[in-house]
Amino acid sequence: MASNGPKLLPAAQLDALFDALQRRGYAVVGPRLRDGAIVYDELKSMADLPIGWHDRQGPGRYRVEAGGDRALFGYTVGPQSWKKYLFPPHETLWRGQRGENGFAIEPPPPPPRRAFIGVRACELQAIAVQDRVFTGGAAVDSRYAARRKEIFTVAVNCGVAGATCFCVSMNSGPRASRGFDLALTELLDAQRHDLLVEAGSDAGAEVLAELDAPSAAQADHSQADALVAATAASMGRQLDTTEIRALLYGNAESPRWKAVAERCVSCGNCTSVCPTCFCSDVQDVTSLDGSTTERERTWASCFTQSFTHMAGGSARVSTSSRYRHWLTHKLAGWIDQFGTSGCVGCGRCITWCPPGIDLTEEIAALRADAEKP
Amino acid sequence: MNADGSDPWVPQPWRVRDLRRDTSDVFSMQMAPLEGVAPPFKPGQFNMLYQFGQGEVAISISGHAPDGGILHTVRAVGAVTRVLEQIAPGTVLGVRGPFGNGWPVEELRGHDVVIVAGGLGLAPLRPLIEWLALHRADYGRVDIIYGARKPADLLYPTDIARWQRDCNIRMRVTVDNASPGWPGEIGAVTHLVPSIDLDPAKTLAVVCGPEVMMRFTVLALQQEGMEQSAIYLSMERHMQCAVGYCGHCFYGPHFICRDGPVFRFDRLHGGLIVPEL
Amino acid sequence: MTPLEQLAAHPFFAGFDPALLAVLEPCVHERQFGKNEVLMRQNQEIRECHFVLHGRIMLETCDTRGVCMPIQTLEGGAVAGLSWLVPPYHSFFDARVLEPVTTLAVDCQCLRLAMDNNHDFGYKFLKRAVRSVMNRLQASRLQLAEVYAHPTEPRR
Repeated sequence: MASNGPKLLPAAQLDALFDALQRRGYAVVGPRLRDGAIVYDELKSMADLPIGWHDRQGPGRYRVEAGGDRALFGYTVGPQSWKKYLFPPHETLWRGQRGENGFAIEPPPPPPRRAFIGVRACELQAIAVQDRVFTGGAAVDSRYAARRKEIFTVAVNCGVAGATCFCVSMNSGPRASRGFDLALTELLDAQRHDLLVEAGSDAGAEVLAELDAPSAAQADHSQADALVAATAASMGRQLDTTEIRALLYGNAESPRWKAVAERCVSCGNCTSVCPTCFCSDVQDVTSLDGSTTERERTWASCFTQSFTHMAGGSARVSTSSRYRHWLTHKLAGWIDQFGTSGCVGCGRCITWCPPGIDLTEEIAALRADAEKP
Repeated sequence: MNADGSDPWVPQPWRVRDLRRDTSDVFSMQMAPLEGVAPPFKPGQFNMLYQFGQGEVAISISGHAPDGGILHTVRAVGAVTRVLEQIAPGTVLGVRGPFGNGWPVEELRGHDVVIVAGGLGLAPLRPLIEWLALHRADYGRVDIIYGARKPADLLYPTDIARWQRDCNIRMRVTVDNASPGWPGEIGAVTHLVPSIDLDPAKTLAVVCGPEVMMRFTVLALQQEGMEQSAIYLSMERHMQCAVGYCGHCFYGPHFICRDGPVFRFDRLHGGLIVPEL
Repeated sequence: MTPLEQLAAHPFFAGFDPALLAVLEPCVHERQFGKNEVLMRQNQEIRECHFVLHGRIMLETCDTRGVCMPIQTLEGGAVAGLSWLVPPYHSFFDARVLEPVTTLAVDCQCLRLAMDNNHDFGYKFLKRAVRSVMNRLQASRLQLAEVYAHPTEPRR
């Protein structure tokens, strides 16, 4: 009899979930190994997952290595996030054709249905944050909303913490607590290799009911709880968010910003890898004869000179002002604007920063300076 | 989608009915939608004007125009505005808007109002002045100080004459530089602030102009006894989406486009002092 | 109102101790000037400084042909003739009446003497004068800054 309570799926049978999703018309996307990194891409079956691969991360450092096991999700987060699907790096907002009455506008085609598999708790939080940015205000971003509606989310509770992870500080992980359709916990030891599967929505419960697997036992839940607790206890970093708005707003002219600017190369990597950074540029890409145009939206970074360009110059010329803006906005401004921190503690900005600037270290230093008598 | 179900990214086609030059680098366009009339706007709001294939630019609304149209006063200063300067009446532009919060017309009600405009800053103030003129009895004394670089740069001369003549508005016009024979004032706008003889207990001030001018004006108003919380100003930053998700107009915790462009001075992050916010 | 009472009501003296201000009693007189009359002439000694009650004054600087450059306008509430502060007590500009002017004219020698004899008055008066000079200086700098110029245009 079909049940939609938590089930125990042998890891080797994950393709049953792929099948159930593909039958519903979802293109399944998830982690796979490419160019020496774990990225998100379309997956045909579980064989496309980076099985047995693990990652090692540090400030300015990322390596993958084979771990000699069969773990499906034995790594943390890579350089990409689900943002690339929900808020793509390039997209056409509309197409325009010059015509009799000026121009005619044609909307882009509807987005595909996608199932995300392997979404970490911090990433669920990042999606929730971007939902607020794009759909929480008076003017809803229609493109984002259309894509978001077509997403099925399979979360994975983290069984390992990376050296740059600090989701516990940001209250966003390592357990997926909301915002998913299904959540997996990978139970892997010498005796077993199973997936504890739980539903988080009606759509998830429906898929779960289709999986031919036994109900999970209390012992399975206990093992999953212990795994997540161990992950929480082994966070690579921590960030003290006490009075963080006052700390950042009150120290806008701290010498620390100049110090960090001596290392920052203004490359914008942090904004590209950040799963919540949402800034964009919009421009026309016009045919040679000028008869058609595409209104293109691309990711923008507040680390570029042109970001604040107005007639007469940029509003933020110095690197220190740009780093200050990014960090202050991420950790403080976001709270004022969207009622939530812009940081989910995924650690990507630390790992993918060429000089290895670590925001947790910068906040600690700013706090230490501020507390000096 | 917007509250009315339309897509905030999609411009509506409007026809430019009239384009005339105000000064050497400023021009005004009367424009109206191809269908229907312009949507209602609040004084101080802005539109995004789109020239097909060229791009978009944020321009404050300067007032109503005949037959359901509106007026935009534009300075030819960037790539898009320089193209707009050259278009012929009849051209169809895209319009998104109106956006932004606008001037605090309700808060001003019952108060004496001091308006200080600098340069092109009069353009977004014009609808506010027209509003005050239309609802004159709801407001106390209205004083306007308008500063420009030189007499040839002054906007809306016929409106200025009308406001003074017909609307019980005291208006002082001052320029930084004048040739002999200029009948108005010479000097910075701040220089005229004491002459208003304002009563800080019942006055609210509205300031719009270049940032430096606004900063000095706030100081001059404070010297007359006004609180920061009684002073409103309009901020300008690079804008693209106009609805709070492209990020270009961030200023501290504010989206200038969505939370502004008008801010009460005591609530404006950094008080126009912290550089490169 | 006596000239002294009128002087006490001028914005320059707002909140000033009336007992202290009384030392100016022998120094102050009301003056009227018609259109185009000149209150002060450049390079000439300032005998009286003017606390303007009504009217408008143009500060201008003129060459020997009589071609004048307008510098700044002054009006009710302003002070004209602040150069009495420093030797040789000469005016830098012409102060010409644009619209009929009423002022309270304070004899500069009398004022300096009052300040010398009563340092408490002198100190408090000077604080007001410095504020007035300061405001005028800052406004002049703002005027020079060409804040309304096209943002891409080079400033002078």
